[in-house]
Amino acid sequence: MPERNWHALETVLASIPRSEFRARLRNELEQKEVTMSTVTSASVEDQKRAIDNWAAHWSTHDMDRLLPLFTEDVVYEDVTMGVVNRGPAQLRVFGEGIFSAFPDVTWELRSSFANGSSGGAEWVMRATHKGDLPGMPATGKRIEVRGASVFEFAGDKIRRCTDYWDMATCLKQMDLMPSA
Amino acid sequence: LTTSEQDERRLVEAAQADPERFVELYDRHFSHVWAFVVRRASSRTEAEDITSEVFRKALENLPRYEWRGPPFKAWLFRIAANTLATRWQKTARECSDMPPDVAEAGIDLERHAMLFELVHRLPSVQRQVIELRFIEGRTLLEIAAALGKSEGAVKQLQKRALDTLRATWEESHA
Repeated sequence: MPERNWHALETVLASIPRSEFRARLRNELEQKEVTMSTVTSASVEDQKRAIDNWAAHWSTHDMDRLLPLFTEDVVYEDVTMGVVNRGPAQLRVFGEGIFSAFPDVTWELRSSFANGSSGGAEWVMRATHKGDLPGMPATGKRIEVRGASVFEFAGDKIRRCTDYWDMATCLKQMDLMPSA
Repeated sequence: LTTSEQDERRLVEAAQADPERFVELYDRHFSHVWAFVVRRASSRTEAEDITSEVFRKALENLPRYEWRGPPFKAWLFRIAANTLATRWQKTARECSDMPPDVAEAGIDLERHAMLFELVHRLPSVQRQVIELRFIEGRTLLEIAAALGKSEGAVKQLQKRALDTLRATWEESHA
C-alpha cells in the first residue's frame, strides 16, 4: 500500500466513532420512541409551566400541590447534599425536612427551558437557617444561594429532577466557612 | 426512482407511521452523519454531541419531513450543518475560530463513511483492537493487557482487521 494512502487511512481511522457511543445513541433513540408513543403528548409549554409550578409550590411549601408535578417513580436527587429520593413519599419527607430547617425558604426562577423530553432551570434560593440540620445546629443566618436543576419529563410530569447548588456560599453565609 | 431510493422512501414512510422504525434509518445513515460532523467538529466530544443532536432532532421532526427528491441523508446533513452553525455562532463570541465549512461534502465523505461502516461490521474483537489502537493510541502490549490476550494474538487481530480495511480503502482510491 503506498505510504500516502496508508497515512490517509490511518488519519481516517483516528476519527472512527466509538462503537460504545453508536450503541448508546441507538439505545437512547429507541427509548425516545417509547416515550413518544406511550406517554401523553405534552407540549413544551406544559413542561415549562411544570417548572414554574415546581418553583412556586416549593416556595409556598405546598407539598400537596408540588407532588402531583412528579411521576409515581420520580427520582429526585440533591447532588450537593448527596440525597436521592425515590417516589413521592420519600420526596415529601425530604421537603418537610427542608421546611423545618428553613421555614421561610423560597426559590426564585432566573431562567428555565424545556424541549419536550428534558428541561432545566437556574434559580436563587433564599432562606433563614432556623432549624437544626444533621451536624449543623441552627445558625439563624440568612442565606441566598444560586443553584440549577435538570429535569427529565414523561409527558408533562417530572420523572427525574437533579438539583445542584452552591454549598460553599451557603456555608460562608452561615459563618461556617471563611469568606476569603 | 432507483430501487435504493424506493427502499429508502419506504423506510422513511414506515418510520413516520411507526417511530419504532426510526432506528433503521439511524443504522443506515449513522456513518454518513458521523463522517460529515467529525471533520467539522473541534473535538470528538463535540462530534458526539452534535451527532446525537442531529438524530434527536430528526426523530422529533420526522413527522413533518416531506419527500421532495433529494436523498434522506441530505436532510440529515442540513440538520447537522444548522447545528454546527448554531454552535459556531455561540462560541464565536468567545473565540476567533473560523466557522466550519458546512457546504463541502463529496467523495471523501462517502469514502470515510464507508470505512466507518466497515469498522462497525468487523468482528467484535477486531473492532475493539482497532478502536484501542487508533482512537486511544494504545500500544499492542497495552491492548493485549486490556483484552486479556497475548501481544502476538492482538497483532494478528490487528493485521486481519487492517487487511480488510486496506483492501476496501485501496479499491475506493482506484
